[in-house]
Amino acid sequence: MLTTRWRAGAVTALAILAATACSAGSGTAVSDDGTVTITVGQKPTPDQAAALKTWTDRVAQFEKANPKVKIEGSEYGYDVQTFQADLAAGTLPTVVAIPYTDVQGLIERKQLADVTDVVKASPVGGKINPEVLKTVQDAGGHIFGLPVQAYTMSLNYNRALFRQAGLDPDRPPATWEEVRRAAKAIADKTGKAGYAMMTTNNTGGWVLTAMTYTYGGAIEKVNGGKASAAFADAPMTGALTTLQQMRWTDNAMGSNFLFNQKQLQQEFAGGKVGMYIGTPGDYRDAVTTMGAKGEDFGVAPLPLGSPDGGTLTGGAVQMFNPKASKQQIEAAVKWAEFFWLEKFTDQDHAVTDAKAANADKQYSVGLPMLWLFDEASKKRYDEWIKPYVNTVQANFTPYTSKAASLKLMIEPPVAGQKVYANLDSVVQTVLTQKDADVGKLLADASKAVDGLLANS
Amino acid sequence: MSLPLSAEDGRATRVTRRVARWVRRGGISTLVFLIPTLVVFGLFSWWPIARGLVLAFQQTNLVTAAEWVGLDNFRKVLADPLLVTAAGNTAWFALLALVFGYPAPLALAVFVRELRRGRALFSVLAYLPVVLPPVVAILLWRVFYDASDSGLFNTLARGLGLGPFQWLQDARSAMPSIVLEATWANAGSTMIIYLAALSGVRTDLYEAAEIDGASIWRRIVHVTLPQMRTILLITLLLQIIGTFQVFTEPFLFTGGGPANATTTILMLLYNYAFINGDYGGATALSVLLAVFLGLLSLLYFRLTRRWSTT
Repeated sequence: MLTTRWRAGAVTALAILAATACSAGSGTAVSDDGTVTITVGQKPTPDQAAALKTWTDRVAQFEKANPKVKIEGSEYGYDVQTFQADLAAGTLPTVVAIPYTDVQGLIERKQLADVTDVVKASPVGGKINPEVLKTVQDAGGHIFGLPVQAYTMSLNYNRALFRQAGLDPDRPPATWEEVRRAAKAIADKTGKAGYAMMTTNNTGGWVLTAMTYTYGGAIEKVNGGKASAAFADAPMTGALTTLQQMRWTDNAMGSNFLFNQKQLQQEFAGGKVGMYIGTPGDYRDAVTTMGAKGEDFGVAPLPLGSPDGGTLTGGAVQMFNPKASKQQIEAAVKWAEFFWLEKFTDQDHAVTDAKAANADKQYSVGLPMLWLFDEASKKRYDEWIKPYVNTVQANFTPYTSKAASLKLMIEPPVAGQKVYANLDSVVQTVLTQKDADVGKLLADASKAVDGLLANS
Repeated sequence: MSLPLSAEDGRATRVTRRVARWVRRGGISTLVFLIPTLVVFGLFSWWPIARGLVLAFQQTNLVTAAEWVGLDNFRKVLADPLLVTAAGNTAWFALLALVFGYPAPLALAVFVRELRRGRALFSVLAYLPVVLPPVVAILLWRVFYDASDSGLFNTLARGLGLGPFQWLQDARSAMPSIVLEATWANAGSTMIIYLAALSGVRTDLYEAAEIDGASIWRRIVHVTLPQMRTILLITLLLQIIGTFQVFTEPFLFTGGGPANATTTILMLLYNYAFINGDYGGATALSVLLAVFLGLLSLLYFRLTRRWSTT
């Protein structure tokens, strides 16, 4: 076994080294006549014909309304593994979407442009739900992005497996005791995993955080600007004990305990998993690219482990390139509001967007979301897009009927991804070692997290 | 009357003569041929290495100017509790790969060499896994390692009255499982090197051994292995260096789990750079790894100098 495949490692190392060799910025793109050029990410690909036409039309409209702004499209989509290299090489677009879960880490590293003044002064951005806006703010209240989509995490479940197990798919579990009973019924009656969980690439920590919130717990506490671990207590113990019971007492979690997000989505889409914690948006990938049936995909709010329990939020934020000039940032925020937010408040935008998404069959129209604006605008929006909805709306009722009443929680504000990495190991140990001592695991993890938070 | 040359003039004349001789012997055309190689290596290999070395002493967010932090990155990396785990796991992988993976291609090569018929076919079969893209091979083996009763390996084990085993899902068996796949995937390419080396072994020695009544085993031990000594020592060193940089297998099989049982040094390095965006820490760790492997190679050469034929 001579040539162990270390090429990926070599590429990684090379990327690290090469990334530093280039440092081209995008901060000089203002021409002599004052025209500002910005590059916008997520341009639809040629196979998304309808969406591409809508995008091209929107660019023309935007440039007409803003003659001093020139838009260049890029099909770039955020990828955590290439983001740093793109940032270093100056190949990041001026504006592109990133997930909520990575925002705080990027703010800490000062890798996002501060857009506080531009967003607060804007007529659309200024109306965003302040609770949602917290996701993109630092401790001082500065704004580092524009939330354009939000959701609360959800319990996604396979309605067909529910029926096979004699469960009512219209009444998904609302507490963790009910999840446990349903998981056992599914495992016993169908031989499939009743409940499964993401555990690798920091997703174990992410989902455990969501579970802990439902038990009324917290991950970090911040006192006098110093953050420390706050999870070695009853709520996370409750969450892990539930996992332990489903895994070892009920044998209801199948045989694979090393899933990243995509792998678990594939297992679920393949009908091998009864329930998992994910996002309502998982519907899209499952149905459009992984072969799941829309009518089998159920979405429920997170089960609660305590009346004080809250629900972790997620979503997409348009970030702005920290190397961009002030004029580019202003133009990019204007574009992001025009393209990503006006479709929620402007009938023409809403209808064209939904129509294109429906025509391309690569998007799911009518997915549940956490509304960014006031309730009246939500009702109007739902009416506008109604003819183009291509998702099974009834399957979302358990989620949509409760989403508005949930207590919203944001991700751990300091070094969130590093904390998740530590918690991955805790979840994996509970699911792979029969007699894992939850108390000791949490004490050890708490100590390790305190250490890393002290250095953050 | 000529004046005597000063020492300085004499040195200048000698340098001029040396340059003239270098030009006469085709030095300029050598340089012209060498320049593209120097530029390519310099730009894509040595420059990034130099930049990486510098970065190990800096803190950067890749946006603002990098800040010199002295040895802070090294201190941080060395204080990371996961470093000990990752180093232990990497050493464990290297050891397992050495014990099981190193003899396998040699045995295969000797086996193929000893065949009277079908040598080409067996060579192709042994080499086949190398042709498979690593990602495809690993995804395939993930299916084989399915820990349920109906998993392929568990079904085979049941036939032998064993199992079911947890394979990748158990902290104790995850690394050996990964080594098994890595051995399967990589043995072919080393086997080809050994086959080539075997063809260079003097046949008269085999004939002499056969006349003396030596068995196959004795012929291997007393003729084949001593004749292949140099190549064996080099492949061993390359394997050690390669296994200390293992990344793809644990990354795709287990993501470093369960409970960090398969987190290797390179995975830790990857997390520093791409998950935490800490390029200073990542390069500091890569410098440490490079220094360690350099020292290991030196030590290795020193220890094996006596055995080497060159």
